Amino acid sequence: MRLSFDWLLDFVDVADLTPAAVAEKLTMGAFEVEEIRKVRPEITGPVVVGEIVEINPHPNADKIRLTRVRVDTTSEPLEIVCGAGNIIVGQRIPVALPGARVINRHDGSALNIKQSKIRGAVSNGMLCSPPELGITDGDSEGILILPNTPALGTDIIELLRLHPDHVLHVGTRSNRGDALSVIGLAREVAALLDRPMREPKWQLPEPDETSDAIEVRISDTQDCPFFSLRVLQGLSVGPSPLKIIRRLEAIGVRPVNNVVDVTNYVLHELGQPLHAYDLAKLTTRAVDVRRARSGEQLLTIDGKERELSEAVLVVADQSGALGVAGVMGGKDSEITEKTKFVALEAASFHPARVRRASRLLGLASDSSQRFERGVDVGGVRRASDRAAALLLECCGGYLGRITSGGSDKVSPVQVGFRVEQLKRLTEIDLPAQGVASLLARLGLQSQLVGEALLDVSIPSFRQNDLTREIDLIEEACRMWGYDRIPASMPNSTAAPDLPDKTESTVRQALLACGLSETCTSSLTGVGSFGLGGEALQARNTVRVLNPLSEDHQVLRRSLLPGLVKAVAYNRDRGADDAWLFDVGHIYERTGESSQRETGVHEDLRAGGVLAGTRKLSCWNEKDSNELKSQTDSMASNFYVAKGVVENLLTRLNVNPAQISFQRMAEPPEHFHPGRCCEIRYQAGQESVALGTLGEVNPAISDKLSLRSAVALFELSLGAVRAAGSAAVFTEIPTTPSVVRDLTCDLPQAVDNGSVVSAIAQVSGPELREVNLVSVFRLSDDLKSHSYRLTFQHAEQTLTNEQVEQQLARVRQALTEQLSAAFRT
Amino acid sequence: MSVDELKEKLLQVETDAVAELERADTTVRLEELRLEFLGQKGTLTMVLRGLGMLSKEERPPVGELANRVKERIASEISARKEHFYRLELERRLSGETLDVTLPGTGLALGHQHPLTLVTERIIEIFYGMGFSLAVGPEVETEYYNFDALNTPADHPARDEQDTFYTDAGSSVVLRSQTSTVQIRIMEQQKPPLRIISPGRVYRNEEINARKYPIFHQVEGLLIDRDVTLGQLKGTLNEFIRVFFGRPLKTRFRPDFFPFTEPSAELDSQCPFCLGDGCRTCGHRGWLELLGCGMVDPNVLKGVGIDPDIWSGFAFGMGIDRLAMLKYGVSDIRHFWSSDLRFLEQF
Repeated sequence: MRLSFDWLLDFVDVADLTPAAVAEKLTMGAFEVEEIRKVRPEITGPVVVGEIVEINPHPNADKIRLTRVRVDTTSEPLEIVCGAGNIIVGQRIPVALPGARVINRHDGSALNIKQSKIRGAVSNGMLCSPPELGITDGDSEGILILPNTPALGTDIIELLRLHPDHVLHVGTRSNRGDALSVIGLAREVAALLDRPMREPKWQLPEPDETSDAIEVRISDTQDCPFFSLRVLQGLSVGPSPLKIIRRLEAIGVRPVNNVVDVTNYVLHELGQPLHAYDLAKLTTRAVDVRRARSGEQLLTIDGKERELSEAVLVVADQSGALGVAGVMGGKDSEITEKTKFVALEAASFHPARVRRASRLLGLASDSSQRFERGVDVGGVRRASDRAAALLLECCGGYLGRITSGGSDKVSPVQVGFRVEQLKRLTEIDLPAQGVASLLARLGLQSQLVGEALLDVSIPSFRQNDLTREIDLIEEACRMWGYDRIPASMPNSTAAPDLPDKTESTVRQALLACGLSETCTSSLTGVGSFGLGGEALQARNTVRVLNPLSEDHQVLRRSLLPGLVKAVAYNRDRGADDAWLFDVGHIYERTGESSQRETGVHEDLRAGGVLAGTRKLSCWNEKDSNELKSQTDSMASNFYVAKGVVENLLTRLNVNPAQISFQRMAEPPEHFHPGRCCEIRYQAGQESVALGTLGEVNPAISDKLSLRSAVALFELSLGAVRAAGSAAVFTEIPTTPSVVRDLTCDLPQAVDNGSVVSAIAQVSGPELREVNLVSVFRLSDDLKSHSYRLTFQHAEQTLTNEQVEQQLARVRQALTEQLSAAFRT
Repeated sequence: MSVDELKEKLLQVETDAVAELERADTTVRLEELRLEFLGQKGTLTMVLRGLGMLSKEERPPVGELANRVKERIASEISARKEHFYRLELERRLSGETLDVTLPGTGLALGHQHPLTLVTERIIEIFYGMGFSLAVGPEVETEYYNFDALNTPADHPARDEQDTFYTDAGSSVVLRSQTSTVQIRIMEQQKPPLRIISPGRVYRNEEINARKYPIFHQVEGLLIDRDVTLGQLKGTLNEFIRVFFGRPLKTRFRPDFFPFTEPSAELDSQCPFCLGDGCRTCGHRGWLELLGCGMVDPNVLKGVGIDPDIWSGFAFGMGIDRLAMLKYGVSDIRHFWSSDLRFLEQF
């Protein structure tokens, strides 16, 4: 909220301190001051009251005129050039004389007044408009016409109350509705500086007991514990006194008229929202505080037609709602120039009820903001008195009767405070007396009961947030000063566990493969799978009910669309080659939600995208005379992605014999159907899916105009972590190894995996390695594979016969199982 | 041939060989000479054939001499070889000098995301102070996001967080704070506890240079006997010292969070201007770093921990903000751009 320093002085004497010093205190005392602003650029004299005695056309210009202005009774009128059209002879207006400093109305900067020539005519000063004086009274386009003929030569700063003031922008606390007011912050300032509060008093005349009395009927005192209406009669609506106008302006509240201004003034001063109804507009002499009827309509003061519901509390007369309780009044009963009779509402509404209405209507006001945070019911009558006194002062008239419903009686609240608890939690070691005097600064009176137990009385304005011992510990601590508590290290016995390394190992493996890590959004648009992955999206996707934008509507089901988008993004910025990975969650609905269960499964995934070509430029010596820059390039494709995945699995020590890459019966739409596979891990009898990899579907590439093949992979880190193992050392064999090459012709349909597993099946442990050396296409039906087999026995040197026996078994198996043919 | 003649011949061979080797100027010529003198049909072999004509008694001294000559020639050859090798090497080396300023071979190397770098650093620092890593879900129920954190329905603090709601259930939200993990951990484990938990959080806020609807927080929680506000200060001061690599002044400003009391906002002296005021700190000299406080007794009671026996502190900080400070990143949107020109700077 905005706090006028000048206003603050009404409640606590800090005139000896600068606004910055008070702001620092507030900041260090829980109310952060985000900004200190001068209310208006400083105006320095001479700016005085003048009277226009003559207006003549300018000889050289149409839009500006020559005026003669008298600023005192003795000397000659001054010639001043003026461009405003609203002046006539005889008006009294503010005149800035040479040497004065006013405000440039275009940009708010300082404007120094000098004698000058304007289009050939001498001007001895300037007639001022409201913005040039930093105020909002009058017509901002024209010269400010001063009412009530003030004496010539009167200092405008005094007359219009243009004294310097500062506004502090103070942060709000959701539990401190009481501090959304000048008096509340003054209490804080007084407490933090340990100075006394000034409690202003005002005198109300005896009410006219013959005036109208309006019956108040409250349908539920849960919603509205207390509601009062006070009648004021014979008021004249007009502008407020300048003191009120300036203070409202300072805090950014637009002055309207004296009745409305007074309610706003008291709202900001005491934190109690008020509302003034034009009594003549009420159709009955009774008002109800009740829930709105479903479908009930109300035109609010801001000019909007609102449809209400049963969750909304309204103040109503017989003919319908007059206003939304605690939020905003209705247009029909608002105060106008013609208002003579006013019903002043001062009430207490339940915070949650006001909050609901404010949310439902999408309508927040100074009033709702305060009620939501809790307004002191004990202060309602006082605020009504304060406003009534001000209204009588500003608008004349006389006081009518006050009627009310509910109760504003506040029961005393006592909270016990075990003094040693302060020391236990904050290390502030004070005797009970010391604690009591810290609390006393906040208006909390305590009594010592027993050895070290304080019985603390909570004043009504703090009963909302001070309900427990811990609340008082915080207050004592705040008054003591957080900064006075010495820092120390905890002496905890909780034994730490080393963080799981899977995630960082995966990252390191991918970084080493040359992929850079990115961070993609977990919220995506429904259409972001327009990349071809709608199927991923359709079932069990979590949708956001209040999305920020179309691009943030659902929780992602895969990391891959985001990564493909990242490739397109970089391509658009001239980078065709992007090898990227991301580690993050994907989300899927798997069940029903309850109080503690979301029914949503989150899976931590590592996804990667390889787009374009990885270039390895190096210098090669062709011969002694030529040094050539050579570029080895590796275009990304299925096999590169597979290599990355294999590296990653190797890093986590997943046994390669238990991993298989299998074609999928129904490949996901985002993959090229012939160039993708599932990665599975065989754990005993169970086969676990680790993830998928493949080239992106050309339909997606075309749509995004991706020029070269883009390969993708996505692994579930939970499954990968479970498949990983700790390395175990195997003795290095000292026996020689034997290498044999094997070439066979195979039908095209036979894949490498089947050949390798057939070889492995019939071979003993002596077969150490099978490496595919080449694949050669013979015809549409036939191909040739060459393998290099390495045999080694752990203890003995293998004989040629032993190796040949093994090879024979391999040949036989391949021939029988896979129709392989061997050329001799 | 007599002994003397033989001896003379041997010495002559030696003299000839040494002279020839001296004259040889290539390794090829050296090989020729080796064959000429030491080969099976070489001069020395020929001379030694005469050895058979000598008596048993005469043989040893001549044989001895012959061996000496043979060794002399052989060692002369290897010395010359070594000499030629050195010459050749010198020639090669002087011809092979590289321009060391040519660019190096571009090996593929990935870049780690700055948010990961900072997260891992934070985990490490707190591990050093005895904190274990914990994780919790991003999709949460209102119970964990608010109720259990002493933020009942209709508490205005709920609005301050601009929570995203989902269709997974009437109370299923995207967590707006990592504090949810506090509750999950305290439900599962008994004190004493020391955990930190980094992760994504979500708030429905307009995107700008400072705000993104998804960001990262790290939550810290310590529950033990006699945990104090002073220990919270000590722990966080230590974190800031290690994270920024220098001791920085800090200040604890009272604040309000529903789930801690007393609560505080921690400001650190700006690491860039050391308090003099600069653009990063908005000329205030202080940076708002994190929120923290003593765990509210209601939160402890809610998970069945007796606040009269146990006390604790909790803190939560924005990882994105720390990363922006650490690397001088001006706009939070860079973290989400996937722009290689950004990623490759780390």
